[in-house]
Amino acid sequence: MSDFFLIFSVISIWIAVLEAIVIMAGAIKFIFRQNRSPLTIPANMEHYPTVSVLVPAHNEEIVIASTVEHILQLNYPARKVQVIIIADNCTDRTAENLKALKNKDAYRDRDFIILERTGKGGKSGALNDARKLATGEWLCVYDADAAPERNALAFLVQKAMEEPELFGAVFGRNKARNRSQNFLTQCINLELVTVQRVHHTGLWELFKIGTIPGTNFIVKSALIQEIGGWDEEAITEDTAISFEILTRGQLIALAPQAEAYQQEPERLSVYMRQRERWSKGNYHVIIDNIHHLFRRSSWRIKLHVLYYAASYFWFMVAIIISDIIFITNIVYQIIALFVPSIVSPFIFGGDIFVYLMIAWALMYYIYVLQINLALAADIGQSNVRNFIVSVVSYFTYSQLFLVISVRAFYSLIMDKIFRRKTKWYKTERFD
Amino acid sequence: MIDYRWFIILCIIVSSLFTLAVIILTIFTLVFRARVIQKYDRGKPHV
Repeated sequence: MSDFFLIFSVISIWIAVLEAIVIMAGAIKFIFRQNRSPLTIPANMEHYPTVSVLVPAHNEEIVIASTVEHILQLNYPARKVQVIIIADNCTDRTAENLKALKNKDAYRDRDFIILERTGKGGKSGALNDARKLATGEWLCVYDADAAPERNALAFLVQKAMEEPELFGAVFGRNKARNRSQNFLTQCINLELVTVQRVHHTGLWELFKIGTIPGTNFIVKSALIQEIGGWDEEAITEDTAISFEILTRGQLIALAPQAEAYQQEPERLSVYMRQRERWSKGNYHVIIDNIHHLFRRSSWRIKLHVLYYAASYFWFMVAIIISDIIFITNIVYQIIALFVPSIVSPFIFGGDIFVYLMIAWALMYYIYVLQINLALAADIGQSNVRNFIVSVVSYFTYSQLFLVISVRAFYSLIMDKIFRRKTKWYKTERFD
Repeated sequence: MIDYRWFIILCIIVSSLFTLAVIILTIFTLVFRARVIQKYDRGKPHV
């Protein structure tokens, strides 16, 4: 039985390493191709479509005015931009701060709606209510802490205009504004940079697969209408809507020059709650879409489902099993110093255990290498401090993922057994 | 005892191929990093 676990672990880690190698190769191809094409800010946007920018905000008095001001100052024809801020069940001064901003001379004539909402449904509910007031051909969503860069919307739409019939949505890149706050935010920043500059680019370059990140993206209004809006039962509405878009034969394109910011959790407890919600939400989406693997769905959606299922289930189980084997053998070896007769339950014939260690070492090495490729691509971030954090983060920050995934999965099972309704948890903000 | 020689051979082949791939990716990463530093960094410390 223990031999089966060992071989399962080795093969599973190989597949994870293969996936990492393929994605990294795609990312390198993307980076070198992008470096050959100069960045062009669209000069004439008169033929560009109208856009309704939606910003859901629940108790965001700290950050909302800055974000909305950034949006109002975007480099995009003002008459083509409608801004709808949803003050969703706010008990603080979010709405008051917005009204003060709207009364400024510079913004008085702008198409700027403040929607004070007391309904249910969390972020999805807020977006669905705003959608009823939206007049734009495209909907753009920013989180309340996004503070998009001046050309972010222009770059998103520029990408959409490359293939307007095929691209149902376009997403940009998000940067951590508080990345240097502490060790946790430094690790989150490395993860964010790696996911965006390696995973997103690799998947897009090789397979034209993209996933909406929840903020800093645009989506066709007509497509959202056809889908029926955002799923108010989903706790990760961005992943859920991504699969809906793919199912309809539309692509989610990447516009890496479109940048916005996000504030990352600075406390471990806040981080764990946020990530548990994301994991649980993604488990739901995987379970809801796993049927595509066995039906006549497009290869792209099958690959996307497989990618998520492998990351959240398969590789997780393989890492847990291999960690158990490692730790058990280490513990038994220590005990054997005092009680020589004791024998570990994981005794293997031949050198297979050595190859498990080699597979693990390759996985660790490519983990660090991916991070450092991403850092090299993000000007100014490839330094000694970040290299050290990348080396250390596997043994610290990344191990949290195991705890989060197990807890999220347990919570999901308990919800199903006791028919509990999932509660949408809002990430706490910091000054 | 089960004979795992076939699996050991598979391990050697797969590990060798992966190691080669990783070496190539490392070279690309270092070359790219060197180009970026040459083009953009001016030796100033970055936070």
